[in-house]
Amino acid sequence: MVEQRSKLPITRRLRIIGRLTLSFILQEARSKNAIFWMVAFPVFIFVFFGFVFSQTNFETKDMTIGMDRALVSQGNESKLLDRVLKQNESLDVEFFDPPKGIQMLAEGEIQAYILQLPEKDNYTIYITERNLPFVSMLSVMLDRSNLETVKPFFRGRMPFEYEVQVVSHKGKRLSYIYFLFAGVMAIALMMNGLFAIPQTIINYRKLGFLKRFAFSPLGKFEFTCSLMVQRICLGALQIALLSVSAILIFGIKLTTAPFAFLLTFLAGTAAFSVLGFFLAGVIQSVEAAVAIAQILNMVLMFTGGVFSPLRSSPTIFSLSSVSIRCIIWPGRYMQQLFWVRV
Amino acid sequence: MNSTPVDIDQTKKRGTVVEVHNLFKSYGTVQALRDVSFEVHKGEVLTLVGPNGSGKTTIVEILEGLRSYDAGSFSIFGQKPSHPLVKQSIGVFLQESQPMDNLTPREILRLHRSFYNRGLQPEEALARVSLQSESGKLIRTLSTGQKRRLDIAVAIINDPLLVFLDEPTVGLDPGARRSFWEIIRNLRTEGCSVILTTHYMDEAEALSDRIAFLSHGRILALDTPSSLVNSSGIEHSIQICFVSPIPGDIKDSFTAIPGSYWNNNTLLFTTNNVERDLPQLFKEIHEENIQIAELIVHRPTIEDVFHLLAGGNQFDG
Repeated sequence: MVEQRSKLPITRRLRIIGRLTLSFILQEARSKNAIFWMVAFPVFIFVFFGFVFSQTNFETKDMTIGMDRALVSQGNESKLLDRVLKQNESLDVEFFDPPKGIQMLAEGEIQAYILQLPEKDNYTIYITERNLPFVSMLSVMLDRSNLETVKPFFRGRMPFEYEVQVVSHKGKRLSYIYFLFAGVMAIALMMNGLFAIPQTIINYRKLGFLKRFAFSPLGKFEFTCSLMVQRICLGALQIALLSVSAILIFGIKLTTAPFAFLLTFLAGTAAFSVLGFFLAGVIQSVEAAVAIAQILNMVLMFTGGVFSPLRSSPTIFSLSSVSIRCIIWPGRYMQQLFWVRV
Repeated sequence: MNSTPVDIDQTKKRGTVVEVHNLFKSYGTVQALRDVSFEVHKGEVLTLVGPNGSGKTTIVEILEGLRSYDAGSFSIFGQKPSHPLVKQSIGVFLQESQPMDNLTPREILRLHRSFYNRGLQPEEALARVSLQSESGKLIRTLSTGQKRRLDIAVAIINDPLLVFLDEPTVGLDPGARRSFWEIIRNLRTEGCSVILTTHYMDEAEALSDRIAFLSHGRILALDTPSSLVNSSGIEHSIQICFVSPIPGDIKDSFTAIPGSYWNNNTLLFTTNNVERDLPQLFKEIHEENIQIAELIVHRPTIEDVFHLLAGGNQFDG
C-alpha cells in the first residue's frame, strides 16, 4: 500500500548518499580506463617530469625581495636572514632604501620589502595584495618552526604589513620538485573536476542513468552530493598516491599544515567541479565536453603557472595584476597554496 | 489535478490507477499526441500498440514525469507523477537505459532499493526474474536478455502498484520473450497494474487485458483483444505468399483491395466474404501468370484489426 510519507528523513538521505557514492566509486574503480587516467596518469606525469627536470638547471626564481640596506650593516641575525634568502633559488634579493623599496613594491617591481624594526631580531615585511601567499612561503623558507609570530594586520588600503620575528635561522632550499609536486596535484584535481565530471554526467545521461533516477524518489541533492563525495574520495586517493611517490622517490617533506592543505584540497575540488558541472549542464556530447575542457585546461595550466613559475613564463601569461584571476585561474592558486604548504 | 494525499482505498474503490484526458504533445511541427484519453484499472495490463513513432514512448514518458505535455491532464493514483508517494509506488522499465555496468545485479538492486520506503529484498527480486545465479557477476558480462531481466528486477524492487514497461522485449530471442511474458503475467497475478508498450501484436494479444491501438499520436481503438476482433467486422484474414518476386505495378494493382498490404513477397488482407473474394483474386493471379507458394486463411488477429484501422502496413519491414 502507498505510505503516507512525503519527505525522506535525514538518516535515509544519508544512507542513500552513502549507497550511491559507493556505487559511483565501484563503477569507476572497476574501469581500467578510468583508473589509468584518474590515478595512474597523474603519478606517471609527476615521476616522469620529476626525473627530467630535477636534473636540469631550471630557473625557478619567482620573486624579488627588496631589503633595507640598513639590514646588511646590522648584527649577525640580519646577515643570517640575508644569507637564508639568497640561498633560496626561487628568490632574487636586492637592496633598496626604505622610500625606494616601498615605491617599487607599490609598482609591482618587487614582491616584498623587508624593513628593519628598531627592536632586535624583528623585521617588518611589506607585501601587496597580489602576493598574499608570500608570507607563508617565506615562513617555509625560513622553516616554520623558526618563526615565533607571523602577525598580519591591515594598515590603510595597501600594502599589507606583516611582522615576523625570527628566533633562529636555518636555510631551506626549495627545489623544482616541490613546485612540480604541487602543480601535478593541482592538475590531478583539475582533471578530476574539469574532465571527469562532465564525462561522467554526460555518459550517465546518454546511458539513461539520469532518466532512471529521475522517476525514482532520489533527489537532485542526493545525486549531486554523492557525485561530489565520489570526486573528493578519488581526489584524496590521487593526492595520497602522489604524496607517497613524492616521499619515496624524491624525498619530499610534506606539509606541516594539514588543515590548510585539506581546505585547499576541498576548495580546489569544488572550484574545478563547478566548472565540470557547468560543462555537463550545457554540453550534450562527451566529445564536445572533452574538447572544451581541453581548451580550458590548456588555458588554465599555461596562464596559471602550473608547469612553470609565472616569472619564467612569457610575459603574456604574467597577468599578475588582474585581480579576478582567482576566479578564472583556480589552478594557479591551488598550485601556489599547495606549494607554500609543502 | 488535486493535491490531496494518495488515497489507496479510494483508488481501490474506483479501481482506477491512471487517468489520462485529452493529452496533446508536439515536437516542433510534428504532432506526437493528439487527444489521447484512457484509464488503467487496478491489476490490469494495458498495452499501447503501434509502429515506431506512433507516440507510445511519449505517452509513457509523460506519465512517468520525464516529459512535458502541451495540453490535457492526467493523474496517477489521483496525483501528479512528481508526487513523492507516486514515485514510491511506480516501477519503470525504460526502452533505452543501461544500468551501471561495472556493478553486479545485487549491488544495483541494493542501490535502487535504498531509494524506496518499502520493497523486495534484492535476492527476492532476482529470483522473480530468474537471475539468482548471476547476482555476483558484473553487469557488463551479462547477455542482453539477462540485462533486460535485471531491468525488470530494478523496476519491481519497490514492489510497485503500477509498472511501466516500454518495449521490454525488443531485440530478444523468442525464448527470452516468452520468459518475459511469464514475468509480466506474474506481476498481474500479484495485483500490479501494467502499462506495456510494444509493436509485437502477438505479445499484446497474449498479455493484455486491454489494447490501445496507436497511429500518428492518436488512439484508433481501445478495448479487450476479443472485443477488438469481434467488433472489426472481419471474418477471415488471408495471406498469399508468391513463389517469385512480384513487380511493383502488379503489387500496386493488388493493393487496391481494401485493407491489403504487402510484406516482402506476401500479400495480406482481410475479408468478411471469403467465398466471394478468393475466387476473384485467383482469377487475377492467373491472368498475371504468377505462382502461389502458400495460401493461409485464418480467423482474424488483432494485427489484422490494426492494419484495417490504420490502413495498410504501418510497421517497419
